Amino acid sequence: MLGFVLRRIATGVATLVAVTFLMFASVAALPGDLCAASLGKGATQGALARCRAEFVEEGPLLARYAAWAGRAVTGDLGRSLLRRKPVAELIAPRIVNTFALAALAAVIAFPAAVALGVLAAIRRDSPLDLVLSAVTLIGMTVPEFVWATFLVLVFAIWLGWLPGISLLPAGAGLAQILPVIVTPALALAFISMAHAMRLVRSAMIEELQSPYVRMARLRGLPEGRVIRAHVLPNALLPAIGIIALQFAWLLAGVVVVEVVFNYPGLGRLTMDAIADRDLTLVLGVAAVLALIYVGVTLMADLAMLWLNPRLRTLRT
Amino acid sequence: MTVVRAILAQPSGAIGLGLLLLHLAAMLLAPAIVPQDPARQSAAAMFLGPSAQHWLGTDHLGRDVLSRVLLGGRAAAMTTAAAALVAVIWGGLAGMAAAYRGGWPDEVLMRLMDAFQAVPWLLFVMLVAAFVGNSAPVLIAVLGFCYGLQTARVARAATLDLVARDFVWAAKARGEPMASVLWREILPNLRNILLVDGAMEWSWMLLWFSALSFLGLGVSPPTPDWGLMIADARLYLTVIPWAALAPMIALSSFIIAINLSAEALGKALGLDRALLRETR
Amino acid sequence: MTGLVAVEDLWVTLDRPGGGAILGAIGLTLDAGQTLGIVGESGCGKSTLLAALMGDPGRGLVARGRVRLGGTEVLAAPAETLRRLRGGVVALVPQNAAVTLTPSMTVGGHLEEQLALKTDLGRRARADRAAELVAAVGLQNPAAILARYPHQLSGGQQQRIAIALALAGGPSVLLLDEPTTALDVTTKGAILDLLAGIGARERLTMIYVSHDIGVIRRMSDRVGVMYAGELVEDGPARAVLETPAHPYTRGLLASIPRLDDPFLPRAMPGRPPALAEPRPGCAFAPRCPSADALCHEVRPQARPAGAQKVACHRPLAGAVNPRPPRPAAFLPVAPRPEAPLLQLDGVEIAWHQTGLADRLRGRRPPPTVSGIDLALAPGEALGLIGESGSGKSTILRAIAGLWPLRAGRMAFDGRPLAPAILARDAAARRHIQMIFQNPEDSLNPRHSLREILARPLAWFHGLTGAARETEVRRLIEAVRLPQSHLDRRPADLSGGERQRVAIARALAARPKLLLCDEITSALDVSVQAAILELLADLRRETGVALLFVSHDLAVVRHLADRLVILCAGRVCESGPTGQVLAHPSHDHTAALLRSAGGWAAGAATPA
Repeated sequence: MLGFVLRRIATGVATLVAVTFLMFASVAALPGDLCAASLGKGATQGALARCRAEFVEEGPLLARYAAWAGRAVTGDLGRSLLRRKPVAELIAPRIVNTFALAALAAVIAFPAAVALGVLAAIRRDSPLDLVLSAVTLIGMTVPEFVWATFLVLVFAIWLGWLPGISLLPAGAGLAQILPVIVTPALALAFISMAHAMRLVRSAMIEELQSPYVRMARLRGLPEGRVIRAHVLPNALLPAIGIIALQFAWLLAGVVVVEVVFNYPGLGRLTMDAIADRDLTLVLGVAAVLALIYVGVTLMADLAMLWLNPRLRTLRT
Repeated sequence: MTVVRAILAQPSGAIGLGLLLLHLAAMLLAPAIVPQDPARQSAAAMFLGPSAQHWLGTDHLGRDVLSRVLLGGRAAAMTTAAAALVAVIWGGLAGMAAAYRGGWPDEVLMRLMDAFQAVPWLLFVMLVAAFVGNSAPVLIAVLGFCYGLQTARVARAATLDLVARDFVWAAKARGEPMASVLWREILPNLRNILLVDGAMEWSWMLLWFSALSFLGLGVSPPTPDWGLMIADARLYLTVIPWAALAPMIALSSFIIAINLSAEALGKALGLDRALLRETR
Repeated sequence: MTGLVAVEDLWVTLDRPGGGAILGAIGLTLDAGQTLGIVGESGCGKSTLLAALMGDPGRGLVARGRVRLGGTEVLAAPAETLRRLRGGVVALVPQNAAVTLTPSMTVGGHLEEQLALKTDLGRRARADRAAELVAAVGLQNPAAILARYPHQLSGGQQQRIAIALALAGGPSVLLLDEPTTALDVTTKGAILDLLAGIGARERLTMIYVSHDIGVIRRMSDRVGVMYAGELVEDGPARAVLETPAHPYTRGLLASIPRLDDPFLPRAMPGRPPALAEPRPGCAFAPRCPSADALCHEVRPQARPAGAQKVACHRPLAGAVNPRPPRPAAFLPVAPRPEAPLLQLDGVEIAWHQTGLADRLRGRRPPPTVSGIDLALAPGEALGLIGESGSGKSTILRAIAGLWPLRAGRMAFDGRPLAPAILARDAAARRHIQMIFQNPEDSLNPRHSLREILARPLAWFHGLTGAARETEVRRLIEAVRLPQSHLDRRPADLSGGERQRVAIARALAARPKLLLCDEITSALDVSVQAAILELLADLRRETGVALLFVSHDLAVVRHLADRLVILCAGRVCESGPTGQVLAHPSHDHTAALLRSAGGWAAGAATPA
């Protein structure tokens, strides 16, 4: 099993390297160099020269990447082209905000998804199941920004319960965030819950049709016991993987939601960086997001490994 | 055809297919049936609510909302349909070949797939759209590439399954080369899966395409686009809610329609649900 | 109705309007301590019968009639009653134990749960009883077994645990659904002995379902024969098996390859009706040699005939006719002086490919077979025998060019044979053809039969158009299938028909050597006979050499001139068929002979 774990960690690191290299190469491949692309056509020669002196490096792509990666590992993600501050400094407070948002959404969404998914599977094709299926369908197919805008319409404008678009400054701290975090979290939570619930339901239905479940019933075990002790432990195992993927998805969905709500998080920063063409910042943000994704999936895989008797007792 | 009948036999399939045909009809006929010129701005007609002249009111520039909604899906639908085609072709071929060949090419493809799942690839798309341009060919290429990786995953899984079966071994035993085996033996068995997967992907691509438009990186004005309309109108939700609600409903219903139809198609073709991805 | 198990007029039908019957008019009684063996081919409904006896015929099926176990009515019983009965009065030992044990629960967990819910024992007593049960099913070191998860046990161990679980509740009736089918020969024998012993000791009433007549004969006091969802014959074991009254039983017994019988088994024409197809008259009438007008119109009721009950209008009497001295389809081929067609020298093959981790550690996984020397003369038929996992199929694949060799050389037609198919010349590719085991898998489901047969014709002979069509028709006729089948797809055909197509496809190339990888193992016994017959005829007509792999000596015996026996990855015996069977020189061969035998006319259970 140790071999398996090590291989998994190695794969994670390899993926991280692949992703960051991909982004690095993409940025390098943009027309013109870093500075020309960023400052645009209207830049003066002087500005370009100053920028190039500070940011443009010479040398083959791989060497430049290696240098960047080496610095990144120590926490130095370079300096923002336009904002004149170290990238890491710009990102740090945002991570906390985005994490809070994602965490709140997760806390709302995942327990509900698991509970409802299990219930829908047990009462398959019942009215409850059909209603839940309709709800998941809407949750999955309606774009986040539509949903988010709709929530603003309902909760902020029609009902006036919650603030809509927030007017917080870029570097707002956690305490100031709290009142405005609810609506965006709800938007994210609903969509996330819809996806997760569907998958949990599928996993559950598949287990319910397994031969060993039928056999447990034929051994004369009461239905409640069969579900609790035989089905759930096996059905919920993939649920962990599902949840991990959903959490990773939240990172992508967060961009749009943060823009809609003007929320000072990592997603907004990404959008701003791209809009401003601040490429070093973009690269830094991408690296951080990739790191979070790889980390989350790695932990989920290891958790599944530990909880699955078949894998746990495997001899490498 | 029996397949269409099988789709219509399912309630979700009937709804989905019906909605889809409605949308497609509207898109095709839109240029002929729009009541007003969608691009005509009018200072006098700004912020109007629904009336006899403007069934859904006007937007912040005085343009007729209904006309813009009728036309707002065309660009998105065509671009994403083209991208879905690209995705299915490139992903299907790549996944098939990688699964059959095994070894290094397969490893490389899998790493690529993992890497792209890790990138908040919306970021990647945004980057491309921002810097290389958001013309249709660029968007088709980049969306097609990213989603193609997802198709490759499905195609690879299905091919791995098929490759173990004896009729493929029989073809190999005849000395048939890889291309011949893939084309004659494997592809006919993948056709249905790729079809349904492609349809599903079309719906997911529409989601992200409209998100891109919303963020200003997709379709450029003055082409009417639902995502763009929602982005503009959301600042005036209190005044002219219909300017946002109408495109929201149109967009959502179109995506739902494709989704339901694709799922019903999958069931009608008897496909194993586990092989179809269910997430974006 | 009396008797511990009493079934009267049991019908199981599809749960939809106009649904056809899976089981029809089943009636039987069984007294305490008796063992009833139910024999039938796949699709006859025997598993559904067991499921119905437990009160749950399966998804989409509904049962009606009367089923009483130990005095309690089972069908339409309330859920609580069923729950109490199951495990406590009647228990099921399933066919495939591996998938019927919950993966997340240890063996001890399974037993503890069963004992807690079905007995009144306290915690300590339960733990002791669990260990007792594990020991009673013949497993050593109960403490270790109890701590393991199902996937950590071997197939035989899993099956034993399934038996222990069934016994945990102290049932008086045991239902067994072919529990030894998936096991290899030696384990099979051990489990059967175990079951017989437990049955006798605990005075259990058992119903044992199988398609293997040898097993049925060994286990049963009474035998029932099922065909198309009906119990066509039912009586004391000796009576049914030696003086069968129903034409189907006779036909079935005659179609089984027997080791002691020098003649080919006789196949029954036609195939069983599709399940749930409504039909007037006797289900067997279309295939029955003695059917008359009445048989086609009126369903026969079960009535006494001799010592047994038979559902037949014209039951037969007297002992089974000795098989007519039908000449063997071929005469043993004397070894010819010319060069061998196929030659293997010191061939070594590994099933597991050497992975990166192994390479780093500098070791290789052990080979599956090694030191294989083989020679096949043109037109000769060689039988390659071994248990599952012995590597025999892998050898075939290597010869076909589909599997790499680790060591050794191969030669064909006097020239070296490259291990990789793509490295071989056109002649070598054409002249070696392979037929695979599983008829489900060996034909492309999306191709019509015409396309399947046309491909090798186009590939090897470059035939097109009318010439190709003529040849396709000739091929389909050569394997005795109607021309109308050409436009169909494999899914429309039965297993036996698909194998015929696979044979036709192989013959299309006009090969010199046919590699047959257990081609009858996945087929029913009666269909098997027909395929063997076909193969023998084709061989006579075309003079093609056969390399025939199987784990069943009785099947190979009729086809092979010479035998090669594999054990532990090496050749442990080889020689002319008659000689090897009469005077085996290796222990393993002798063991195989014993378990393959299982059935000899007039003999008691084999030693």
